[in-house]
Amino acid sequence: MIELDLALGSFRGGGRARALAIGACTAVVTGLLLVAVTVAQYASADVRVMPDGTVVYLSSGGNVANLLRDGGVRPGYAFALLLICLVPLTLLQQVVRLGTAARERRLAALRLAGATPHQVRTVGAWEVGLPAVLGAVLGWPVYLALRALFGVSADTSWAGDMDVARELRMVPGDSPAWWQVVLVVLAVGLLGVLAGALASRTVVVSPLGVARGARRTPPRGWVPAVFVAAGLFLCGPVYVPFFEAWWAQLGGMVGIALLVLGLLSAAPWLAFRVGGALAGRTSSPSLLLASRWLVTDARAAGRAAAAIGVIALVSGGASSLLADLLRTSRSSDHGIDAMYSVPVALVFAVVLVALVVATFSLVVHGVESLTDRRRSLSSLAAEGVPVTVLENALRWEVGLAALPTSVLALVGVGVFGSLAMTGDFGAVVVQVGLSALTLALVWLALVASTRLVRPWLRRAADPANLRTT
Amino acid sequence: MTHLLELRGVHKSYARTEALRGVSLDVRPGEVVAVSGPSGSGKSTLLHCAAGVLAPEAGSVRFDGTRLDELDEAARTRLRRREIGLVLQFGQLVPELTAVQNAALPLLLDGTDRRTARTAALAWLERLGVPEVADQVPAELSGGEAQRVAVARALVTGPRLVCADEPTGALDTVAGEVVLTQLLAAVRDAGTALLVVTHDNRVAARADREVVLQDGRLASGQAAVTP
Repeated sequence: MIELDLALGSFRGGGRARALAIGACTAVVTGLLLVAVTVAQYASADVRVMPDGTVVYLSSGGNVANLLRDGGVRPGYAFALLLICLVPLTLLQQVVRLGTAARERRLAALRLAGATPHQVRTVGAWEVGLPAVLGAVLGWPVYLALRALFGVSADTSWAGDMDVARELRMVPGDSPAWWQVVLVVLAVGLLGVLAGALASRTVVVSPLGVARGARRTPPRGWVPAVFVAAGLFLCGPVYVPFFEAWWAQLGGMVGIALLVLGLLSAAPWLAFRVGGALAGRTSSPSLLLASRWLVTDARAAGRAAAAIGVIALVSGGASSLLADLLRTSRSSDHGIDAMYSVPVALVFAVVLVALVVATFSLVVHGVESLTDRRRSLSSLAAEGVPVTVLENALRWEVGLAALPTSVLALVGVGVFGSLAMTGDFGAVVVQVGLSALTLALVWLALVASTRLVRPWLRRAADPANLRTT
Repeated sequence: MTHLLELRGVHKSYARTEALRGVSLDVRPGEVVAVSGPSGSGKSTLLHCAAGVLAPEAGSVRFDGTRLDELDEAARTRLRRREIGLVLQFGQLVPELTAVQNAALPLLLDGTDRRTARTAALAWLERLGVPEVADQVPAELSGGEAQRVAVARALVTGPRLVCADEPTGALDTVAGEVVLTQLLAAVRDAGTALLVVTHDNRVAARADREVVLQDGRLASGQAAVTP
């Protein structure tokens, strides 16, 4: 099959890094989903179904994490695992763009050699689909590794404290059924193919090269507004008064998912608006360049930075929870129970890992946008614009996309948290401090991403690119 | 004599720029026609319309009686793959494939088995004087070698027409002369018609006929349509 051969040929060339990154993303997603499947079907030891059909809850649930033992919080735990999948998925969305310029030249060469549009699309689908499916298959070892580290019978004594060790045993010991594994692997593989197809949906490859679709309309604000409004409704008026009912809990989860979607879709819109507002006012060359880039196309930078808004949301939520736990422990003179402190600590750990992953998303965006703009950047450099100005412009481009959503998320969660803590001054100080720390870490991620793409920036600013078409 | 290629009243524009304004042109089987003219006169656009890469907004393009402008993209591509070879200024080879794989690609895309395709491609590389580069990738080839591999790719399916857009434009004088000589020899031996866009007077001088474009029209006095 010539299309498969040609796709395999791309892995021998520059497409290897892209394939490895796609595979790594889908492996992690599959591993997490398999854990979520086992959590969702976990039957804790504290539930007994009697011969007459009645369900009896026993006080002891074995030596496993409360997240797993407590049937009331278990669905939330499974849902949190699904949310964590967003981190590698946002990276996947970026890595499918890796090497776009070289890949498009290659696809145009294939068209010149006589490949039909369908054949070229098939080659593109194989290029993403193969590593995505292979990565998804490798998700099984990832799941086994997670189970070995955090399984119900894992040795977590390295944690020191016995209670902490117990709360770390949060992955059920039973494996998912074979058909569940197959289903998850296929679904994740398909998701990878879909990500590849969506990334090139506006691209028309002809023998003469690649033409992008006509300039699309600017991002619209009503889409994220609807998501956020629906999310707030489900998390507030629906969930709060009926929080014990299963349907309200389900509504709450859907609400959180909608809030996350709202933040993800708000990033390009906010970036566009902020860019538009700054473009006519700023006198800083870096800000002017960054804001004009965002006005021209806010979607690429917005997508790359969107995950950071969600990270800020989660970090803000965890900060509120931690502040509340500290307040409660102060008033009761007890330390924070491990069943609360361990999940909160794990959330902060996930936030840090997610920030690192998001930094790499920004790096991928930076590299690809530099390749796209190499001619204009080299002409700016040739006209005497210092590379530091261009570097600052790159940082502001992603900064203007990431910071507004992050601030919005932190302020939103902060206000909600302060209300819940009835204005306890100490708790509010803790929350504000943690939110400020989150913003500082976000800025650090932006700086790190710009530093990491510096070699590509110097290459893009090279005068040789003045001749690039 | 029946025309292999017939363009009638072809119009094509990009945004507000009219690249072609009602151009008509015929090419007979085996004929070598050079298209020249100043930059921006619409030469490349004419060639791309003739090869079925671009669809004109008005007018018609007939290849051996078939209206190219009425076929969909996939059908045009299949016809081009079998009947019309295309050579562009920079060769545009697939970077991961070796020279022989690049030359064999149109046959492989058309379903020919690998051994037959490789044999045919090797024969063309030999014919064009570059058999020694068969197993090298494009990055290891000189500009002239890469362009001859591109010519082999255009001829490997035995097309009846080759459309070449400035095939020597990116080469130095010596390499350009070699590529031009071998391209002309190959098409004349195979009885293939050649429509070549060029700035180079030497190319036009060796063609059977030259047409000159200016501002998207044939320059006055041009007999581009033959009886």
